[in-house]
Amino acid sequence: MNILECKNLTKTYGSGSNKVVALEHVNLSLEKGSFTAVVGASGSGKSTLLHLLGGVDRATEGHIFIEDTDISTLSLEQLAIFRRRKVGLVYQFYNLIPTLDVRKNILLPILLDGQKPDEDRFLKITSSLGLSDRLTHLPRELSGGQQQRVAIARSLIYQPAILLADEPTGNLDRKNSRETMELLKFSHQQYGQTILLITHDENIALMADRILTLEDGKIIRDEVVS
Amino acid sequence: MKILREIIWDNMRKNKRSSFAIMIALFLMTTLMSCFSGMVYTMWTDAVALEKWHNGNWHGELFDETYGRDLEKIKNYASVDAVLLKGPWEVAKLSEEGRRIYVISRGANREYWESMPEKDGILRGRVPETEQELVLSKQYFDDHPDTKIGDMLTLPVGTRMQNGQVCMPTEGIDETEDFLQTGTKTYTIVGELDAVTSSSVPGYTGMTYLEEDTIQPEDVLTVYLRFDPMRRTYQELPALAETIGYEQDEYGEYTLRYNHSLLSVYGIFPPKADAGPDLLVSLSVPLMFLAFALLLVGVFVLVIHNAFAVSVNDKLEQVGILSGIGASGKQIQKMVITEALLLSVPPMLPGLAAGWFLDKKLFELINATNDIGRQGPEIILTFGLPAILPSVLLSLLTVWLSARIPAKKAAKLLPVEIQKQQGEGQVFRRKKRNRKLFGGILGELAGNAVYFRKKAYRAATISLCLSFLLLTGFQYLITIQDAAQEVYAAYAPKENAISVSVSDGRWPDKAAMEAMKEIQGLKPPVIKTTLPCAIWVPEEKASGDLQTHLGGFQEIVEMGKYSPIERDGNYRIQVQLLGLEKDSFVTYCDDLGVDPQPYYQDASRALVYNKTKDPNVSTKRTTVMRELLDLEQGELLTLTEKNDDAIEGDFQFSIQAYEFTEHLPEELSNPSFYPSFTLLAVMPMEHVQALGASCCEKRQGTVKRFQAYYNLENTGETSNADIDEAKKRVDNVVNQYYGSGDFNIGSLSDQEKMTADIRHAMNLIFTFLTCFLAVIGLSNIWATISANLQQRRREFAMLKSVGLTPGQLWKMLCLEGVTLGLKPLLYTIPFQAVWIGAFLYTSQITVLEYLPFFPVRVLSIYILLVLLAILGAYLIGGLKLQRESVIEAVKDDTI
Repeated sequence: MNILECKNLTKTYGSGSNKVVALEHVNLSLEKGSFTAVVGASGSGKSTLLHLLGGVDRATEGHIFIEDTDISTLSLEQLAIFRRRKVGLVYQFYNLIPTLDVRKNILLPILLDGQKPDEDRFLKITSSLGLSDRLTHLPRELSGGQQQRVAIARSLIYQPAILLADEPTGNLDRKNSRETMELLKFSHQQYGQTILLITHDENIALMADRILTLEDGKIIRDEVVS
Repeated sequence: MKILREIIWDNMRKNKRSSFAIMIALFLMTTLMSCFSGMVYTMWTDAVALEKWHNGNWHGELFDETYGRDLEKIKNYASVDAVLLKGPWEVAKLSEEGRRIYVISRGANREYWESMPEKDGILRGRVPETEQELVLSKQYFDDHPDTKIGDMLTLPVGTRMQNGQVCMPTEGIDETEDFLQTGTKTYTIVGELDAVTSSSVPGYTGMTYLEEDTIQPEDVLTVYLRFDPMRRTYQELPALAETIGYEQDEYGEYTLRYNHSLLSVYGIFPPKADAGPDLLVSLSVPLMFLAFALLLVGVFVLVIHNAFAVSVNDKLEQVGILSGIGASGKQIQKMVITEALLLSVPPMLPGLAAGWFLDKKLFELINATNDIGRQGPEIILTFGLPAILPSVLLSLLTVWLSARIPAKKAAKLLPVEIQKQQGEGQVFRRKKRNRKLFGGILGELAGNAVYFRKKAYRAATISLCLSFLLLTGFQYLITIQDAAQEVYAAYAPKENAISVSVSDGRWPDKAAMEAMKEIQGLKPPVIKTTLPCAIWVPEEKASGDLQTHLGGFQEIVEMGKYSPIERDGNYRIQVQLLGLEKDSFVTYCDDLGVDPQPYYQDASRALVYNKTKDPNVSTKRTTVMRELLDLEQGELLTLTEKNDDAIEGDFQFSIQAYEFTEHLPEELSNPSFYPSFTLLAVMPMEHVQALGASCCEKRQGTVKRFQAYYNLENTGETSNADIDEAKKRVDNVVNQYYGSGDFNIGSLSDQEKMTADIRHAMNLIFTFLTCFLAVIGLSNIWATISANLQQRRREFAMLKSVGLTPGQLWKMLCLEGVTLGLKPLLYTIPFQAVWIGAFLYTSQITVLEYLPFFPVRVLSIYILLVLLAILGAYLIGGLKLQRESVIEAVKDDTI
């Protein structure tokens, strides 16, 4: 079953002689529970694709369906709520709130919804990510690897339809990079989490089940990793 | 260094938004500095103008007898710049009889007329140009309504003679005096002078022109001088006095006078030996302004350095690169400060102009309310180089100091420290406890945002706190006064609607008093005269009451606050004999149920009011009275006119305490009329006058004065308009018997109007200061909010990416704005509680009594305006955040 489908997805910037086509008529489907890596040279459109899929940017043309919801038709308000509940985003530079402790950073999507957190799920995620003894710390009191784990925990807390990771290991050393990837893989295996990951690192890409290669805004290769 | 200059211009062009925000802050600062400098300069020029208007443009006066023969030396003295002369008095006799039978005038030379206040006192007409031209007191025109400018008066001139001797032209009236004519003179009336004198000197004052050619060597002149240079006045005048042959007194000084008030405005003070406290007082105002200027600089440094700090933070990446490449700390510092000084240039001229405009409006306001206490021309705004130059210098100083603080910090950072700070923009320490004002995650985020940036908001917070404290302090002061007035209205002694005081150096005119008793719409007045005197008594004469509750005379004297004194074992107690006019006395006796006849039969008999207020236990609500002396009915009291060592006479007389009274006439019952521990005795007026006639001249003068106290017939609600109408009627009656300089009339409506005017003026001043501080605070908050939101783009983008809706974003900004706006106000609550407590305590009213007067409306409006202003800043910043792309904001630009 496809959890994500995009049809004819196009994103352009500027106009006239300054027009830049970041994505051109991209068609893509992701199966539920899949782990997909997107690779490509700098400027190939990887990040643009991820931002469109995550609802933080609007496509110029085309549609994106996540769990049968066409997110391109949602209002800003609806998109924000959708993002909160259905999409998990992990960035290269963690993007934690510096004034909130680890617990609240992880629970942020739920708190924004005004909901009471599921403590069991919370404890499960934090213990599996090795954060149980860091819950009252502020982000600056954590290492880079720990901060990224907090970001991953936050992206998983609502059991999103899809987890999007933009160069999650780009700011980490080798050891932490490996750990981060193992955590993502763990969540994929443990929770059946659908993951789309952008990376320029071939080794990391090979940890996924499927690799999409982008060039000049188009998918030029789509291969399954055996 | 050229490359640094290039970087500076580049920064300014690229960071237009933050540069603009800084320039706004600098514009505001320059405006206020300019306003302040212009105000100080105008106040100085006004002080000079007012001094000259009141006292004339002169520096020193030869106060000893100066003769016409000395004039040549005086004029030729090197440092004398101008000689202002008044000639000898001239007395001309009028043909009519009455209170004023002379025209007493003297001439003044051109320099005098041009420099002294009299020219501004000419109500109609012009300054005289010849010795035959005369400007005459307005009292003459009042008494001679047919007189016109241009009329001629041919009058005998001569000297006044009293007891066969020539007396001074300005001597007081002697009923038996004569006039010795020495000639005749024809005057042409060319002007009406705004001069009022008492008819104790029985003439109309006038002035003519003094032609210096006509001055005789023996003529006695009044000589005022101006010196060039002015600052040598205190040295040159004594030297001149010596030259013309003045004699020194027993202290080695010449009889000279200086226009200290004018000289001190120019910063010219007497030599050290004479300076002392006067110098301190004279310097206090300039020092105060200097302190205020430094305070202004300090406040604006607090405000603006923050804006520069934010700007430096924005450029940290660049600073880090430069530092990494090898730019020295001094170069980085210079770069930041130069940029700051360049940014101060565009707003300089508009700021100066805006300051001028603010001053213009301010002085227009002041001039409009200038009736209270100020006599003189309107204030003219002066705004020349002496205002502009200090504004520019103060502004540049402020900018330099403001930029120097963050510049020095940035210059000291190592490249790696700069890079560490970049990602976060600010280091956040753990909060000690939860400081959010509102619940929920949004409330917490809003509270955190304010708490962790409290340094950035510190200056604004302080400014808003001060502004609110000033506003509330003033509001509490006036509302507590209002409350006290309301509460004590029931306890306060009744004030008389109209009071008249008559003093013309003569015994009271019976016909005048009769006419004053029958004025339409007014109850018959109480008319009285007073003879202050004293009694010497031993300690035992203190009443039992006084001994028990106040410790007797000895303790009262030891308090050092009251009139009784001790000498040779006896105590001097003040006494006032209140002499009531016949009808007033009879009415008073009727009220007491006492027969007035015995008091007319025996001139020594008095109704004694042997009571005094106990100051230790009396409050505003309750006045506790104690018996003053241990007296018996019929006891003889020996009094003396010498109730003060300064009184020359020592006439002693006796009165009999024929009866005691518990009450004074209602119109005279206000305790504030009489000092504490004063014995009062009420007698018929003629008996008090007879006693007064035997006293020294000064005491006679006191007894010759009389007062009348009126209340309206209508005992219900009376308005100020009713009182003003009644006052006019009284004025009309009194005017028929006395000249304008011989009496004055006061009324309740005058007092209320004066109070209202004073309050209005104070309101203006406090409102101006409150707004001034609020503007500083709010402008800083605006700049800081704008910059802070800019810095937090990434944070907001991250929140949006996690699912923060537009509605939630607005809610968060709103909560942040309300938190920011309310915190300074909440910080002031303890201080306000203290102030209210202190004011209530001194006013002796309770919290419950005060509550209906609490200034809810004013405080609510202020709080609302502050919150609206802050929310406005968030609205503008929030609109940009709302529109911004998440991706752009979350991108990291670290090299």
